Amino acid sequence: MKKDNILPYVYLSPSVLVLLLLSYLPMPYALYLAVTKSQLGSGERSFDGLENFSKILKDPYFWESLSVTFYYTVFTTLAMTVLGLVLALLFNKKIRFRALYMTILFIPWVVSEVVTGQTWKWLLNPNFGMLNYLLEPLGLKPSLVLTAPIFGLLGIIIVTLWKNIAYSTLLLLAGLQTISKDLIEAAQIDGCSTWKAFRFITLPLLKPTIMVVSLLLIINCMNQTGIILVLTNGGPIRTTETLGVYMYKEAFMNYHLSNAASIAVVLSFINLFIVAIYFRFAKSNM
Amino acid sequence: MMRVKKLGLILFVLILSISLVACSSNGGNNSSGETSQKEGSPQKEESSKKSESGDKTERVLKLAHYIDPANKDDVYGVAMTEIIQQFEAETGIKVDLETLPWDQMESKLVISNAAGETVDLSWVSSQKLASLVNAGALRPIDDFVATYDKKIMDDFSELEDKATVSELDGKKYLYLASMHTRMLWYNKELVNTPPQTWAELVEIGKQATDKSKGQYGFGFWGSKHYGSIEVAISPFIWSAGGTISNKDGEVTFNSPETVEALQFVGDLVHKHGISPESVFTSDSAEIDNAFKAGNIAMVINGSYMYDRFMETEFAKAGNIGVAPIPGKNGPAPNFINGWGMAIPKNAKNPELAWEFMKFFNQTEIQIKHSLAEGGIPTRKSAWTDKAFEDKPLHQFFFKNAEENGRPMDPLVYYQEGLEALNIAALGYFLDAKANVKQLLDDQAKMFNDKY
Amino acid sequence: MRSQRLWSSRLNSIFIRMCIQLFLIVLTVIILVPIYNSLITSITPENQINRYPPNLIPELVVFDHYIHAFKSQPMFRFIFNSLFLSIAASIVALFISLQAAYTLSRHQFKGKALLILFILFPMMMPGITNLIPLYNVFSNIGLINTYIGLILLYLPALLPFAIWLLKNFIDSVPYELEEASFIDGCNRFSVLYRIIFPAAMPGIVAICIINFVLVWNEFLVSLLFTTEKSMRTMTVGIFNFIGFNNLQQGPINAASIAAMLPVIIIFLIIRERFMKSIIEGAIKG
Repeated sequence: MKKDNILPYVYLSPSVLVLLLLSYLPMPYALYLAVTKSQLGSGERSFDGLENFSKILKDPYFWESLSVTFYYTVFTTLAMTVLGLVLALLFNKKIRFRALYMTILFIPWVVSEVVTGQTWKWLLNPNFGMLNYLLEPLGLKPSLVLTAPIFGLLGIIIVTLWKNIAYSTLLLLAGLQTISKDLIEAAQIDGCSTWKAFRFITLPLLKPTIMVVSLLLIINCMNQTGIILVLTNGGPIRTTETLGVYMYKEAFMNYHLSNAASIAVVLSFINLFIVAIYFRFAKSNM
Repeated sequence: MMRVKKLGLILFVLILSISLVACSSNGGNNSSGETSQKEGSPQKEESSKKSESGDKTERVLKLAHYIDPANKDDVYGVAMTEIIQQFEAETGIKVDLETLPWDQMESKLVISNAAGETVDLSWVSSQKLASLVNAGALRPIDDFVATYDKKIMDDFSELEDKATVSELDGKKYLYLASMHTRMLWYNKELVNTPPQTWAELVEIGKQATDKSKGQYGFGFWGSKHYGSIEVAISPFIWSAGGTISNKDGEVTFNSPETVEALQFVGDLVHKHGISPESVFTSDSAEIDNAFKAGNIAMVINGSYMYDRFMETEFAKAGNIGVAPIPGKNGPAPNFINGWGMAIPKNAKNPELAWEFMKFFNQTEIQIKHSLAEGGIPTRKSAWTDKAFEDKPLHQFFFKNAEENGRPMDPLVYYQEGLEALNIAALGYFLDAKANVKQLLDDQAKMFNDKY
Repeated sequence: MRSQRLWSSRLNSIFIRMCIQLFLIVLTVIILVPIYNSLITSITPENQINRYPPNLIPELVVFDHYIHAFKSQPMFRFIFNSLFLSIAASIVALFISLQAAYTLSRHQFKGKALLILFILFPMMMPGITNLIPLYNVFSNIGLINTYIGLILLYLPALLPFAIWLLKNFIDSVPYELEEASFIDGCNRFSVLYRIIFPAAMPGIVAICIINFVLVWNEFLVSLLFTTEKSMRTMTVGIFNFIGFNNLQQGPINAASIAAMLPVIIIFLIIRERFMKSIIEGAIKG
């Protein structure tokens, strides 16, 4: 580590500038929206203090959405990390047809969210969809994810997984590839089994990447709206209405900009909290 | 590796230059020669009044709509484009059209209005009136309306006014481009006579249902969206004598009549099996597509489906029918609304917008628009025009609107109120064992406390 | 004894390989089902699209939807816009974030922790509410409907992730490599490109692809900050097929499939050129 004087600041200036102008400068507006309320009809804003926040805390929809968001985020992140890891490990080796599998995995990621939602919705249609048609004889009823409130989350988790699995796989694969193969080869020459090599060499070296990927996935889930809106619109009932979806609806369908801004602020704090925990955890692990 | 760095640098410079040059290259790109689309990016000096050619001060009206002038296959789009061109020719005001996806029109209006840079006139769904007014996004037009001739004012249908005056302050904010009524559409190849009461609906529905072929008797929009209440559920509630809200801004849907209505709707799927389960989860388009494909014999939908349903094979063979929505003991009331023309609060040229509204409200334009769109003209004199003589469907629309049409119950927090009802209803629709009254009570209480 | 162990381990490895293939095949079939459905819908004649029971294999194949899609909308323009913006934004983001990540990884300086926080915080704030003031400013400066405007707007969404990820990847590149070249007299800048760039290549490629896809899928900014059709991207343009009362399933799927093709081709090219060199390079260590 070298100690320089102004050079680091120079190198960092473009990023800082962009973020400052385009992210930080508009932020006060969100705060402004969150602490003012708009006069019904004229839209004029008057200072309201923390009224908006107390309104949110009293709002049962908010707490419902919070819990939905929690389960959605935790399970999706878990699934995407584990599956991504498995796939990354597989793709790291010279498997037959690896290129084909990787390309196929990549395709859902670039399909537009609208078409994703529409296609899955039609496939899962309780009466006219292909999945029920194929799987009902086998005793499964996939459309339950759209009609039964308990299974609602399962539906959006699966579709999110389907669309984004390439994301975590790609990152974990990149992480794997930066681990020098020599290390593993050396260990194996010394008589280490493949499993042991994985547990004691690969996994620990991969840990930082896994943690970063999980963090990114968590933040991604908190902000996910497109797929959920098209697939279930927060349904059945409200079992898939995450905070992100609730906020989007408040902003773009009900035009309660104050509400939306307050939720945004709360979401930021939650994200911040998660990041803080991550750092605490990461530091203790170093 | 120097190669990579060089490549990167070249790419970077290339991108920079393309980005900077790109906007002026747009000047030549016009997807349609007919209606002028905005050329290039707005420059600071150029006010919206000056045209591209520079010297002459021209009046330009910025209009937002969902039609796409480039799409020649869309009958409505073509008609609307012609109307706009006629407006330009007759008034000398140029129209600068911005095409937006139909469900983003209001969002873009609110956001651009809040930012201070907006179009002068936008098409909006009239059911969003309350939300838009609450957000302070619209400019009331009472001052313009006052200049209207009394004869013209009398010629407007009362229903038009009901859908465009805000519950909050009693001011008028829109003029409907046309009115839409909801009815029972049915496929004559599958259903001979349309049902007129709930009992008949069940009976005729059963005759038309054959699950082994994937065919169902009756479909409607019952999924998680406040629109489902507007279109399909409200007729059942009103017909049973229930109300959704009262004049004090409280919701009143937790009444025994509503319970009865919701139970009937739920039974259609769970007990009688004449409606597919997907009515509670699919959006309207999926149910409509099933109807068009012949998998559903009867659907509740609006007159705005006119040009889409007319495209089907059975409609072309003359086998499409319309009837009032069956109510408990006779025709049920249905909700009337439509697309409306609205002026954003911060519009720079409200007078030009008003000119367009006046133009559009003329009887002949209303007729032309209605023929293509399927909606009902807001001018009563248009209803008796010869243009509709051989259009039985249009004539039915007029009759249905007059006899059975009604506005929504008063609600300042319109969408939120309907959503609360929607959530309660779905709680029962998806779980036939749930206690409907309890669900309704919970949601009503929550709404009344919150607002 | 030795030969027996070899024989059983060979059988073992064949068995494992078959399992792996089976697993991957099942996975890819699951993944392909919706894509297959989309493809089928795009080539089925209109009146057969919503038939029940659904046909798994189409009887009749028509390309009407593709023709209609390309005729009624400026599809080539939409695809070009999406491609250009995705590539441009990810390259710009890469350059900027590479600088920042390298500095954060290798330098020690005052306020470093604060800067890291500064860079990461925007990730956590949902950007929706930022759009209103930005729209205001952008329309006053005349940045609506421009490529530069859009690229600038995509950057705050791409930079924090990219910087953070790259920093982690660069962290794992051993410092000795750079020390060696410093002794040889290289300056900071060339070290970045000659040593770090190739060593962190897997990470860089991953981030480029991710940035590309993020911009490719982006909707809200592309909708709000363009008013002209010629400047719109695929994600917004595809909405043109969702008319008010009219979901044109045939054309929408055709448009979607058509849009996917260039991206897949690009992915294949990147994979070919970069992934191969990584895998070979990694063996050299």
